[in-house]
Amino acid sequence: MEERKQRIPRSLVFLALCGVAGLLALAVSSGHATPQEDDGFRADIMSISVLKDYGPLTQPKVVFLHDKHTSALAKLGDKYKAQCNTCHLKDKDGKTGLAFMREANPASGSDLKKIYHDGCIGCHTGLASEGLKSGPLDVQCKSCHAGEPAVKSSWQPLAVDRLLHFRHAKTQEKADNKCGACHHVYDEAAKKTAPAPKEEQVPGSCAYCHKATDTVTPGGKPEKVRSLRLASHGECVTCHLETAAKGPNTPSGPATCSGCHAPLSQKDIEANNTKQVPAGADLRIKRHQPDRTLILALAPKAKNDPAAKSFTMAPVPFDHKAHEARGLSCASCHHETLASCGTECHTVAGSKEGGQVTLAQAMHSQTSDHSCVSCHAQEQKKPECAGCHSQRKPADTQDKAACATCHTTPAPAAPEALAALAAAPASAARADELARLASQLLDARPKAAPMLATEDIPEKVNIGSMAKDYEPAEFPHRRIVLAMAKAIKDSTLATAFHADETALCRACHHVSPVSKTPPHCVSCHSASGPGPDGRPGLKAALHGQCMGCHKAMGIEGKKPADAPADAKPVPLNTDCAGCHKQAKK
Amino acid sequence: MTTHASAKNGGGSLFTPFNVICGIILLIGAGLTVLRFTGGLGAVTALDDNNPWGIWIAFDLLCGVALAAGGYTTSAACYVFGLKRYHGAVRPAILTAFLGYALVVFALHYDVGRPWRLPYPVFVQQGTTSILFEVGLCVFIYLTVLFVEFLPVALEWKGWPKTRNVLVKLTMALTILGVVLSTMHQSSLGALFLIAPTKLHPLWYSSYLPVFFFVSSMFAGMSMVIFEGSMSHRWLHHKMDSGHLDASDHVVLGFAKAASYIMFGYLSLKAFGLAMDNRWHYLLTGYGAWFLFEVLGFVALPCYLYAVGARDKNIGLIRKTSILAVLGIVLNRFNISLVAFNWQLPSADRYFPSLGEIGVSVFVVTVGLVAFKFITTRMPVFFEHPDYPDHH
Amino acid sequence: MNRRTFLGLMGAAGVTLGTGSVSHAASAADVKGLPDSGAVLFDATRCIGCRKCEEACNTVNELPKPQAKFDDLKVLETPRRTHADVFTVVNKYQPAGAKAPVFRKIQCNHCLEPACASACFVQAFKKNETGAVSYDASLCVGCRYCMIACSFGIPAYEYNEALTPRVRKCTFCEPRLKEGKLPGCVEACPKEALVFGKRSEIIRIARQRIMDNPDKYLDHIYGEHEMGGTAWMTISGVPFKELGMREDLGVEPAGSYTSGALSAVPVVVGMWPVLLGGIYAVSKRKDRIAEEEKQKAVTDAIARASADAEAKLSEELTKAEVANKRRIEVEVKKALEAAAQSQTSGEEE
Repeated sequence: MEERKQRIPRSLVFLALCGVAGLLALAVSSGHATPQEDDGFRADIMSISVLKDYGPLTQPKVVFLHDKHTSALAKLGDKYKAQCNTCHLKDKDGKTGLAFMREANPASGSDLKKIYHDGCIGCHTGLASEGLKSGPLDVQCKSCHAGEPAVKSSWQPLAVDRLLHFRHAKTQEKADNKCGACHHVYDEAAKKTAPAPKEEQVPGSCAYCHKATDTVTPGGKPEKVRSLRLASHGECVTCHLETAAKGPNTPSGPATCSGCHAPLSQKDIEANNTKQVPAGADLRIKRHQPDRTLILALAPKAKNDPAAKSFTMAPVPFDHKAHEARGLSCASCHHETLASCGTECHTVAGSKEGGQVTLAQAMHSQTSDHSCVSCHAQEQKKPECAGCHSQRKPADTQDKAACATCHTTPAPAAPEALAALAAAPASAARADELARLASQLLDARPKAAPMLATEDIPEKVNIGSMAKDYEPAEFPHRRIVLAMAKAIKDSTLATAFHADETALCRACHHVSPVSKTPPHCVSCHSASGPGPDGRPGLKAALHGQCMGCHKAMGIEGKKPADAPADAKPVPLNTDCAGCHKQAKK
Repeated sequence: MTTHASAKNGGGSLFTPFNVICGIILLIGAGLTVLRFTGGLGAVTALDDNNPWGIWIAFDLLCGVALAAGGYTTSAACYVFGLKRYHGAVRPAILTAFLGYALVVFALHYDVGRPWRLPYPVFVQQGTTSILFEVGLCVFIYLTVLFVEFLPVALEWKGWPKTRNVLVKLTMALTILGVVLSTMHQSSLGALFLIAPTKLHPLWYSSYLPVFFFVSSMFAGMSMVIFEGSMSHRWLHHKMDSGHLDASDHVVLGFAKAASYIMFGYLSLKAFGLAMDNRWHYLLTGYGAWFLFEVLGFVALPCYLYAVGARDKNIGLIRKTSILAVLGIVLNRFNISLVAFNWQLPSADRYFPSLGEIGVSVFVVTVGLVAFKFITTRMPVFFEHPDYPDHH
Repeated sequence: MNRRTFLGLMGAAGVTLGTGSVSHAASAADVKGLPDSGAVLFDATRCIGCRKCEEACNTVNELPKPQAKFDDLKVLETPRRTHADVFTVVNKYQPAGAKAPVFRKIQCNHCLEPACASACFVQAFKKNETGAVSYDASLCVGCRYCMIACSFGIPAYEYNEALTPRVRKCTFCEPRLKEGKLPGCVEACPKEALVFGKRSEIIRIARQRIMDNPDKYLDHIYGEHEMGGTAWMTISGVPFKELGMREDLGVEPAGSYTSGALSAVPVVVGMWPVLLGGIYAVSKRKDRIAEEEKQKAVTDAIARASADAEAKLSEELTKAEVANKRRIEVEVKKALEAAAQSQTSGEEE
């Protein structure tokens, strides 16, 4: 009896303890290691999971904050004079490697793990034993193996644009190597890379050879190529550090993660670049490229008829110099190599080197980042263009007449002459001839887009065929058309494509054939509602055009820049009375 | 406490403490009734468009039906399974069940917008795709069944032997019908929530909800019989005859053992339910802790205690455990309809009962208690009427 | 078998039944997508949040005027839901990374297989050919199960009506549809963000818009399949989650979740009486056999006892007879000896 009576309270106590333990487990498991600082966003978050090459991971990835460590070591400068070399060892040539405390990955995973554990935890323990603040010590696995970082990453890639290139190139103007300070070529005799001293020897952007991962091409020149990440950090950061070591008065670039990759730092860099570069400086990256050239599309000749006509499309005169000012750098268009697009890779018929992308696709692709057409389409997204271009139907954008804007045949040149020119080997004379023909065509283009005479543009249009709850809207037609024309008059792209005087009209007066007297909207858009083919009714067509344009140009509620002081701002889309007054009941 | 008046007031006074308190509650209830039918639901409840069901459904309907399950379990034990020693527990259980269901319908008159239309689903237009139709139909029929099962008690009291004897002959059929109907509507109350998977927390939402509700109703009923029995023993002992008293311990032990088995089965079903839908990771959340609290503290624990009590023949422990089990059923029904329901809504939009709602629920329970006391002190529930000796 | 095993089997059967195969409610499942029923496309890229639709709905349905006027756009700062006298609301959302806010109109989606219609136990909700899910207030009991069932949280209730509370929701302007007119909100929208047509037509229009403007829209028509398909569908340029629309509703109509449980009912009605009757019969039989065995044991005992007694009796009788005989012999012998002795003594004189 006694024992029985004891058992119940005992079991209740046991269950209560289980409950408490469960709740504690709940609290503990739901949290994971929080970093000691909480900066909101960080640009230096690295994820270490090298062991995954040796088999499935048994612990989550290590979240490593690089800048945090470098700044900590910097603070202990006297003790850790070696700085980067504290963790990144120098190889036999004296170059600092980028791996952690090793030259190459060991054969076994447990050895690699030991390198990391001894290196990291060992250092932490050392600091802790001296009473300094340190990172996690042994046994606190989850403090390092956190899997996902607790802070969001703000890391952004850094593009070397012309401004940045100019600043770097300027520092090497008087140096021996000049371009070769950064750009190198493969010296077959010495079987290693050597600086490229002359302009024409520079292969181009680093990314042409250094890809996302380390590449090994048997029989290649060279065989092993570092990844872009390792190459850029290895060269850029070390150079910055060496320059900085020369003294406090020598300006140098950033050597921390956030210094290049944090969004705010990138804004600073851009601001600094613009400040440091003198006005009117020639930012062109010189590599003996043509100012103007004629792009010829030469189809493969019929094998058994050498005299057969071989052109596919009329050639395109191309102002290379003007376009250089548009992109970030050469690599914006020349994305794999500095060679011309169509010679080896994007041939007319397509080739293996070009990934079977034909010349036509390469030039016209809407979705690529490097094609002519996609870049032009990006320009159309600018506010002063978007008002019209965001409203255009897909059918409108496939206007075949627009091809002629780029594809024009130079007047006197006979097709055979052009074919011979295309077939001729590259030479200074050939380049000059192409430039001459291109200039002939480019100079013939109008400098300003043709516009209708002001009298032909109606000043005000009374839109009121549907007026019921609201009075008719008085639309300041001429003022708007002239303002839009003014906004784009300096754009060579717009000038080239808006080839006829009714081009600007076509955004609103769409689909129907262009004329000086386009049909009223109600001719096609019924007042009673949407049409069966999905065409909006009159009310929605009018509202869609006006509101859509205002929204795309971002001018809702704003006054145009050159408007007189007493001008009303553009009404908000929800401000009905701003465009048409409320009708009196 | 005794229903007889204290010597001070002379014999037969109405103003016993029990009566006074009940009277006050009934008066408040009457007031709330007037408010409900002049001002609408909004005047009395805290219900809104996001939370259309409150404690009148959670407690009065769901708990009321679950706890009234003692009727079918006890009568099934006695008549279908032939366990004759439960005979003495049948009438109190049937009475509890009958009052329980009657109160459910009574409370529905408050909750539903137009209570005079409650017969519509049966007699006007049937929404046969609706689980609620099934619940309504079964409750309607089952209330009739319970009424007919209870009628002999009243007829014995009134002295109508012929009708009484006819009705008693129907016992077997009515019992089977009662089990059938109870299976259907107990499980359907759980199935009600199947239609809203996006609103119920994954730990409580399962395609097994009907099974959970049905199985839990079995031990809910048994626990309620034990609990009601212990209350009756305390307050209505003088009404019990030797036949009833002799068998009561046996009933308590037997139901404790049965409830323990069924609770164990229920726990396995719960575990299977979690496994089938892979819900284990939810256990590590706040709602998970609450779920474990409900299942471990209010099902696993009473399961264990019932087993210990049955083995050690510890009536006192079993009686205490029945309170825990009954609270567990209440907690489970509340969790499904109020706590885990609309769990994704921001806390500002969640529901908490108003005083008016609580008042009406208390009122409904009080009406039940008063009716129970009235019936058991006059009619042959705890004792055999001398004219109708029971045949075993 | 014994009772315990039997109960175990019952339990297993019950579990299997409860999770058994789904038998669909026959009503709308046969009609795939109800292609000719009325539908509306809401284009979230066109809506400017002017609330003209709310105003039109209020006018057409003769609802009480709200406190804040319809051109007061400050009400958009707080998210709202439908209410007893507000059948539709426009909410403003600021999606992550988007420059401008996006607006969404909320109203009954007039599902093809409505949860409310499935849930209503008096069939007060019906999906009509016009596309509208209509509500019959003359049948409604006010149980509010439809509000529990609707995963979009649309139906509202007149909690402040004492005797005639109704469930309130968008009616799809069915009277106007029957006259060939457009729903009030569709007609009022200045941007044609709402387009009415046959469901198949509306889906085609939505697909066309998405195809023509791949940068502008996400490639998904919300409501084409959600909850079994709805009449009111949405296309958007930002993820639907950012517009407060749940993306975890699945494609099953709500009724399919309860049809499994309902299909178990006939099985219970058919089988439970058999099982319970069987248990009763078995238990009665057990009692009867126990009774018979008891009787048999008693008669056996009596028979054995009487046999024993009889055997003992005959044994005693035989013994007694033998003893008697011997006594008689002894007495005869004694008498003979006595007689012989007296004869010999008489001769001597």
